[in-house]
Amino acid sequence: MKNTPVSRRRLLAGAARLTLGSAGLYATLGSMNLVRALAASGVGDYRALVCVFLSGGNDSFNMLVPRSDDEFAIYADTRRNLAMAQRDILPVTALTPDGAEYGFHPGMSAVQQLFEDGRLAVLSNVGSLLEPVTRSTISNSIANLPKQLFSHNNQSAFWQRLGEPSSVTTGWAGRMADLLLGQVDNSPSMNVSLDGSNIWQTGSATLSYPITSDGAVTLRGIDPDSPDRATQVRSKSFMELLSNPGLYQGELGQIQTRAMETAATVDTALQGLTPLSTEFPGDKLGSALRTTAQMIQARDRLGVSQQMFFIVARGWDNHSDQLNTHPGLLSGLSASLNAFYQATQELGVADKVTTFTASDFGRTLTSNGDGTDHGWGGNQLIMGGSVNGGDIYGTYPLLNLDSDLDVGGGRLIPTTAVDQYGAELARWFANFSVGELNEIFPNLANFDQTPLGLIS
Amino acid sequence: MNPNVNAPDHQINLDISDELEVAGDVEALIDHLDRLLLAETMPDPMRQAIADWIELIPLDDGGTRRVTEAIALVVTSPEFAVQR
Repeated sequence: MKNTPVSRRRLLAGAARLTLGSAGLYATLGSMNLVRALAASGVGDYRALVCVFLSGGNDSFNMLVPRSDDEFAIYADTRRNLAMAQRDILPVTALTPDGAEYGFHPGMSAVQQLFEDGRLAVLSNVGSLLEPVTRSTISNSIANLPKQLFSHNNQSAFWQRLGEPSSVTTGWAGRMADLLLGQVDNSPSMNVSLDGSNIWQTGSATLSYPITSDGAVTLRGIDPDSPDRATQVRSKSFMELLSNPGLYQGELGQIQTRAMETAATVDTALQGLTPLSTEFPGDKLGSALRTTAQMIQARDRLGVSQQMFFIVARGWDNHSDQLNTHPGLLSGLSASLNAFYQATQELGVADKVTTFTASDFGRTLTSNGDGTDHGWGGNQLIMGGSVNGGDIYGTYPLLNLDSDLDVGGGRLIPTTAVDQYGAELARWFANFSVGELNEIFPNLANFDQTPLGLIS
Repeated sequence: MNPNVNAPDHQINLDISDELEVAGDVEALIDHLDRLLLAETMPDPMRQAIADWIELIPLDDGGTRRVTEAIALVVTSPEFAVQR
């Protein structure tokens, strides 16, 4: 008996390469838009939004830390073994003082510099909310809260969807693309994902186009134009199976064919670009941001005037060994963000690209002895030439336990809603009307709609 | 015997011994896969397209490549994807 060893991963990957799997289906719309885009001319003012999703829940009160004596003492008393040394905090001076002084984690010197240069801002204590709530409305069970707070799946989905799946089926980048596709007829896969299909970029009429850090997902060993005779025959047979006269089979075959064409178009657009002189960290986040920069560089070849990118950085769920794990994550984030900003400068689009972080939730201020558990509000970074940087937006809370914001263990009630954060980014990205913003951000009307001032 | 009993982690071994027995006969191999994977509904043009490719694959490896290529073409085809 003969067996053929195939690793499970390779088997699945091979099947995906041959069929593109769901990626093929997702790519369809991108392809149709692409055809339209290539025919369209007159690309308007380019804008790109880049979401870096810190998957697992970033302990962001150790990312931006109070360093003035009184506030640091409270921080240190609450965080115990997780508190960093006051002298190690990288100092920054926010343009708008709130009476305290702050600084970044010692691993984030590049982010400190970007902040000081006015290229990066912090939005403090932002999180998932349906309406303003207080400790007393929560303890009296009269607060209307997102379901399953402190749960990874639910909260990372809430950040992207801004509602419960029973009533909100799309993500806010998808809803933005839905509204813009009617106005901007040059949007091939306005939403590009470096992390497969995701909720954030899923619209009613639009989907994300998935690529990898290596570029478009193309089929291995399928190339009708190959000089190799065997590859030619193999490709011909594969393509013949796609041109099936059956009603469903034929439709599926056409979807796959279009996905292959789109991949070829994106692949071609990425080939032969002037290599970026900016060097990126070689890790997954750095590689994803490098490819994002190249997709931005290829914007004219792709015929796009607006792009939104979804990137996921993993490993932030530090229940244990946080003191050894978290510093590397923060320094990696800092280095990759810095490289990406430099690349946008190199490409001359620094003021046309805004990068922002998101995360499932913040984490408990209290230590579990070796790490932190799932929290709620947290701090996020916003970077770009159009960002009114060097400032801290929202309200950086006092970090004492049992404060008015503490719902237990230093899980803080957010003082800014994700809807407000997203609306700020969306206003900059496109000229949405108030009505459209309320369509994209279903809870926005429950909050102050005055722009936060993050971007201009 | 189940070929996965002593398989290393993260590896699945396909038992293709039945297929290898007919690897030398392209028609028989396609007949077999048609019966196994498509309940004998494979359209003629599909048979021809698969045959066009796999008959070019030499048997110097005992037929493994010919068999796996034939299986790959069938299971990635729209014909296989649509359940009836």
